[in-house]
Formats: sequence, C-alpha cells, structure tokens
Amino acid sequence: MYVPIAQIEPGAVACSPILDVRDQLLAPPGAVLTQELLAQLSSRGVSLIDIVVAEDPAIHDSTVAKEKARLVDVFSRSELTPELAQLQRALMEEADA
Amino acid sequence: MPERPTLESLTKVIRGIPTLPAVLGELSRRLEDPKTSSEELAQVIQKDQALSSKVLKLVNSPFYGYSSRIHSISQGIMILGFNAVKNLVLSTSVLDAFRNTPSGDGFRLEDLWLHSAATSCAAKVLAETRRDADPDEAFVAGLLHDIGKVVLWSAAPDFFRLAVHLSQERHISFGKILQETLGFRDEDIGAELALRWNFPPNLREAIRCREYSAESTANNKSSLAPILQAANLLACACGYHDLPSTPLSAPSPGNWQQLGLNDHEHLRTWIHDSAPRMRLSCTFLEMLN
Repeated sequence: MYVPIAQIEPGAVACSPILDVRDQLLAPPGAVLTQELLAQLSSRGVSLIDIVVAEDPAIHDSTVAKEKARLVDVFSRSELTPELAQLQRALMEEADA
Repeated sequence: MPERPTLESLTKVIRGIPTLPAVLGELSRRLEDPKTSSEELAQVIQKDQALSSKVLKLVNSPFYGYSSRIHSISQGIMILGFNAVKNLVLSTSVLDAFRNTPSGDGFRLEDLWLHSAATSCAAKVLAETRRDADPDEAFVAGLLHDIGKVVLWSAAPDFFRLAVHLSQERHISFGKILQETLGFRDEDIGAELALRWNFPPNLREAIRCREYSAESTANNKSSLAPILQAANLLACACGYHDLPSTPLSAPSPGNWQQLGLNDHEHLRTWIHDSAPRMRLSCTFLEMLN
C-alpha cells in the first residue's frame, strides 16, 4: 500500500523498491524504514512509499482464495504449454506469499 | 459476415490519427542529459497548457496526500520523478490521440489502456535486469504495443467483434485469428502507426514481432520483442486483460529461455517486482482519465 512518507512511522517495512526521481535504487524491498532513512529518502524527493500493511488473516485468506480461483479460470482458457504452466505455478506461489 | 478491412483501408485511418506533440520529443532529449534540472523540464512542460494542468492535477490528487496545494510545475516534477513525468506526457498524448474512439460490445478502450499500462511496467522491470534492452524503451513499447487493436476497432468494429468471438470460441489468440482471416495482425497495424509517429526502428520492430515466433525475432539483437511478449502475457495473467475471456498467448520457448524466465526464481522475482508497479501505474491512468 502506497503511503505518503510524512505519514509513515519508523519501523515500517518497504514492500517494493524505493527509487529517486531518476529511478536510482535508494532502498530495496524489505528495507526497514528507520527515522534516519525516512529523512534521507524525503531529502531525495521521495514522496510515497509502498509499505507492508498487516492484514486481517480472514480477509487475507479470502483474497488469496479469490486470486487463485481467478488464475485457474484465466489459465484454463489456454492450452497449457510448459511456459504457461510455469507462469501459473509462479503466480500461485506469489498469491500465497 | 462483416466486411474484412484491408491494410490499405487501415492505412487511411492511420493517416487521420494526429501526430504526437512536439513537447514529447523535446522532453525526451532533455531527459537524456543527466545535467537537466527539474526547472528546465518545467520550462518545456509549461509550453503545453493542457499538459501542465495534468501534471498539477496528478500531483495534487489525494493519491499523493499533500496537505497544501502544489502550484509549481518544477515542484510537481520533483514529487513525481523525471521518468514518471515523461511517461505521463507520453501516456496522455497517446490517450488524447484516441480520445474520440468509442468503446462497445467486445472492446473497452479503458481496459486496453489499463492492460497497456500494466504491460509497460512489467516490460520495464524485466528490461532492468538485462543489458541488451533499454528499460525506458521497453516501457514505451509496452504502452504502445496494442495501438493496432485501437485502429482496427475504429475502422472495422463488426469485424473486430467477430475476431474476438472466434478467439474465445476456438481458444486461439486474437492475433492468430487476424492472421488467418486478414493475412496480417494487429501488430502490423500498430507498427504502421509507430512509423507515422516517428518511433525508432527497434521499437517498431518490437511492436510488429511481439506475437510472432522466436524464429522471426532471431535476427534482432535486442531482446525488446521477447520482453514485450512476456510482459503482455504477465499483464493478462495478472487480470489486466486487453480483450475479455480470450486465451493467453503462450510465449515461444526460445524467447522464454532467452529472458531467463525458465529459471523459476528469476520468474518469481520479476512477478514480485512488477505487481506493485502495475497496480500503481493503473491507478495513475485511472486518475488521468
């Protein structure tokens, strides 16, 4: 979930790469956003950060189940080549993650 | 049976499509210079009043959550980032060129733009992992890869609907249906429009070769066409489908291997890095519309 940097509490975790205005990597996914790091990122012009947000386990399970059902439907329309089968498996794993 | 469009009739439609604004070329040239400042970029953007207002509208949207209003274009550029501004200019220019194209049964322009935005992000992320592709070029290719479909829809909506129906019924890709019935594909139409818009040969070739087999791209040293093919597939699989309920286009094994996507970890990383950027890009696009 993308959140304005001013609203992020120290200790939050970045969900995707944090880039500057020229798309240079400033912090990788999984980086813990300390107060110092948040100040540095702000000074480099970063305004929004995709952070990990804790989700209700019941909502999470339901979302994962829906996503998996959607993937089964999408891939069932195509002849499953080895490449498509591999992509489906990777997307299923990503949905679980 | 609806009348089949010919390449000649489609070329006439392409000639009627406006050229892209000069500000886009100037912006690209300035961005190639690492010394360009946000003030200099702002001066270029301010030449186009409609574009300036779009930059300000985006940066002042609730998405960015600023408590005070941003009035300056250069400040807006600092917030959005240089590449986001360039992509914003390109996206709005392409959207404007087709602004009067109506949606209809079997085709929704909004879906196609969301699909294109998602494809462009996935293509850029994949290109960033390679030395033989330019990420920005991959982004542009992703954004434009389906413009041939818009031209075909504008010129022959009844035939377009029939081709979608055949694709759904026979579980064959839309491009293959066109190849069978017309002798050319929507990618060929897109490449013609890219030529009119003076896009570089590499980009035109990537648009043309996206759905063709590995053999047809074997002479192309850039991996742009295979990247585009894979990104198009990922966007569709992630729910950003250009045409409803049509089958996925399986990538050629050669292209898949060339990109290293047969390495499961590499594939997982690509998906993981692309997904949030696809969502963000589609949110931007919805705001622009």
